[in-house]
Amino acid sequence: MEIKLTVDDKPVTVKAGSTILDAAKAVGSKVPTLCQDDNLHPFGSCRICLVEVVGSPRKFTPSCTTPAMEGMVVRTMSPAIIDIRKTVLELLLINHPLDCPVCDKAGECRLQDLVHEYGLGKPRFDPVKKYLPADYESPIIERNISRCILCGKCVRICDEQNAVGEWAFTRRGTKARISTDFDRPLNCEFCGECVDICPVGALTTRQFRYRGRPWNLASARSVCNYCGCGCVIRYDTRDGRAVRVVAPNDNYLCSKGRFGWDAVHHADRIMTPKMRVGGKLVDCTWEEAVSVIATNLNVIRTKRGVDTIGGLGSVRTTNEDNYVFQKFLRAVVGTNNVDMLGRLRIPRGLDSAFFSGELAKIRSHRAILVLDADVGEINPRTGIEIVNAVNRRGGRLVLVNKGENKFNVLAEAVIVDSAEAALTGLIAALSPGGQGVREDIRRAAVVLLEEPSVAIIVPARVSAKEVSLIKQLAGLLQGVTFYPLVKRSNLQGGLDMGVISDYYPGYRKQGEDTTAAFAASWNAMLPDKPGMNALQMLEGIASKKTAALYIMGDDPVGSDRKLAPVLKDLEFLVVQDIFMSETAKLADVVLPAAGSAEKSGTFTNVERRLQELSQAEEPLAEAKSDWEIIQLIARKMGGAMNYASPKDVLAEIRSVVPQYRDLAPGACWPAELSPIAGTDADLSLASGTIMKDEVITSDRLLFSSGMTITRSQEISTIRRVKVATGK
Amino acid sequence: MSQEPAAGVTETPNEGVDLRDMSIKPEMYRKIDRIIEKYRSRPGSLIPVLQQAQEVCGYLPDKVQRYIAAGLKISPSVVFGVATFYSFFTLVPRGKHVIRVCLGTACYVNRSEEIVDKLKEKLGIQVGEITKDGKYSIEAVRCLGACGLAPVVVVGQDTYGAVAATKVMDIVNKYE
Repeated sequence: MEIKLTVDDKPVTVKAGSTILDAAKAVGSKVPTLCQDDNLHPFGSCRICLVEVVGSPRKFTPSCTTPAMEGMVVRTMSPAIIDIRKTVLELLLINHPLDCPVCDKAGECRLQDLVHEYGLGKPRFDPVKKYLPADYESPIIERNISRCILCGKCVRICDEQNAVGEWAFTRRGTKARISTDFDRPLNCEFCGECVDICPVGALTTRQFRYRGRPWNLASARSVCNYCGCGCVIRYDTRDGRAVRVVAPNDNYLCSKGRFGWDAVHHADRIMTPKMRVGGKLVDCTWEEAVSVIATNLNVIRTKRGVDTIGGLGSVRTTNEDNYVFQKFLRAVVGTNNVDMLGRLRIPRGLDSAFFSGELAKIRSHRAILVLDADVGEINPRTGIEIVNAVNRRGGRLVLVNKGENKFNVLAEAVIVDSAEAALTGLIAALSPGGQGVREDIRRAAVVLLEEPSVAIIVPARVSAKEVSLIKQLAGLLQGVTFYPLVKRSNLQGGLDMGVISDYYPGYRKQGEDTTAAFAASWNAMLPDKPGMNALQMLEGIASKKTAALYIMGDDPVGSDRKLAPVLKDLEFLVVQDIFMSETAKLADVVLPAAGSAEKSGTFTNVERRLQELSQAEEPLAEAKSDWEIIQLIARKMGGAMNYASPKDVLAEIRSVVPQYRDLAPGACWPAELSPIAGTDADLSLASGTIMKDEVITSDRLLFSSGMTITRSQEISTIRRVKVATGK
Repeated sequence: MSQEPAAGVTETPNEGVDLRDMSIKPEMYRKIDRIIEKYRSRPGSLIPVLQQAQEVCGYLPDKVQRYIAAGLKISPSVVFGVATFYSFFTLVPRGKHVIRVCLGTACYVNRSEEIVDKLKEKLGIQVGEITKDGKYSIEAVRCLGACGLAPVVVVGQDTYGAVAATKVMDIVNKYE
């Protein structure tokens, strides 16, 4: 249904349920707001958005909470309104400390902007400043409650969007303030959404404290490198060095995305190339390192055969890096031994069977089934979508959960069991004659059956058994869309780029015709022999089938310590990474790669969305982008590679990978374009004799799940709180 | 203006007071369990739960608030927010006999502040505090709706009108 009204003499039509504010925005009238946010329920606490409704018994009406009505005539900018807005600001300034010179928010403060815009020289009221001590006890977030204007945005976003509820209004009247129970320091997810949404400087971050003024910052749009959601971020830099990360589209960011980027500044970064001399890794020049690698690979190729050389690509490097990497091994070295360990037990289907829907559409499903996965920890963005679905759209959540987490409160039905047991039970309950099913499973089944569209959140690691059960269950429900969780930022991109031993880029299965096609477009001889997959390469070390490994951006020893003695048997090991990882410590040559803030290129997230990274900082010391390093070695070995920038690589990717041909940045490639969709092709690797005890998770994923995040200064301050409080 | 923390939050008004009689005993938690059980499935039940829990414990210390939050599956911050909003709830133990002195307009102009001063002097405590023996606590209230009797003092459930500061201890001493 539509509603017609007039705002500032302009006729406008809006959807039923819209507010006057929405209508005003639609005609381009600028109504100031402080407490209003499109992602939150209307609240109406600040009164700055007052407008006049002609004929209304109320002199002024808050536009953010008043529904637009048929035939309404609204004025947003009469002299009386300007006057009342000035008064509202004057009232706020009675208490506000006006300590703008030392406030990090100055320059992007809504209150400051409005006072400036409305030209309040000297407020009429005598100031009564409330100097409450700032809270320096919480990690990450600093509270300066004297600056608070009590708009309640932090309280609401923490509750409505995050389902955490760390903040609350406490006390009353002039003593009212935003706080926690008994004013304790924060102990939450530390996503920083409350800081982001705070219109004034009451909540600021420790990371950015006194690091720069907004008007002195340059910025670079990029993509978060911590999980498969691939949230868009913006690095703000000062003097060429990143000082903070913000969400450029008012999008959600989790603690890792917002604060964990500082890992690139950690002292453990590899600064220069290193090679092993007399058993020790010593610094060397790029020329030395490149020629040692080229020589050794050439020697091993001649002496042991080309198929004893293998390469492990990365789930964290860009599409361009991975594309150049697999092309280097196939076209320059001459082997199909190129793969990535990120394929281990992935939800099969990142290739085809469970193609992910768009994350933003999770909230449009009527029912959501989470299969024993800590969504909020693995893919926080997906978690936020689930909370939104329940809190804002009345979606019904069915949770399979052995433990307890924040989603339990939101769930309509909870099955306390493993995913496999729950799936078996649900299938039994939904099948004809489904009798004797446990009550909790039966209740869950009813919810799923009643709703016309169901989102199934598939865990980041699944067994073959679970895969077939999920498929079977999906067959019994209506309107199912899968949303697999993906821990690593560019797993999808790595698969797309053909870092798979038996697939060329674009999921083109190796065969005579595809080999000929790629040989033609790459203008190179390509090997016919099928390659070893990642596990076979590692397993082959003991039997001398693998003599040399080139590992780009992965740390298999860090995942499985038992691999350390295995890798020692290699004749030659090259590791290219940003940190001195456990694997790098064993290498013969170690190459310093650029961190994600230091390079440009593209990632493809779980939605198959192509997203661009732009460079925020110069690479540290002698570090170089992965593709650039590979190109140096390829050229040294006589390969023809002449990319000037990642843009050149992407142009070539577009020419050989059909899914990327017309894929605009920010768009998702459609599932139909996958040649293996609907086939039996399975790109997930079951663990073999090694990587069995892969340390997939540590105690708390969100804050300590990998080599990079554990090197974030900011995140380490959270970890201390979590350890101290046992939460 | 100086900071005014909510009672019992950042101040320690009861320092040195033997609170053993007012500590939360295991059977009190069992009673709170029953209260929570009764209200768990009803939305908006926080206020009655807090009311009844305060009846059981006499006050709402941090442990009890967090216990209720966990029981009702709501954020402890929200519980604290409600407990500090309503003046009915107290975060510190009250005396066996609560002495409420009205400082509303009518009582105030009839010198009720002198009554407060006298009580503070004689009992050796501040407003919002409790005597060492746990017998009395003083509270200042805004209008009890009995302005005709100004100045008004209420001890427990009993109301006294036209109280003179010099006579207030005679009233208080009646309560053992």
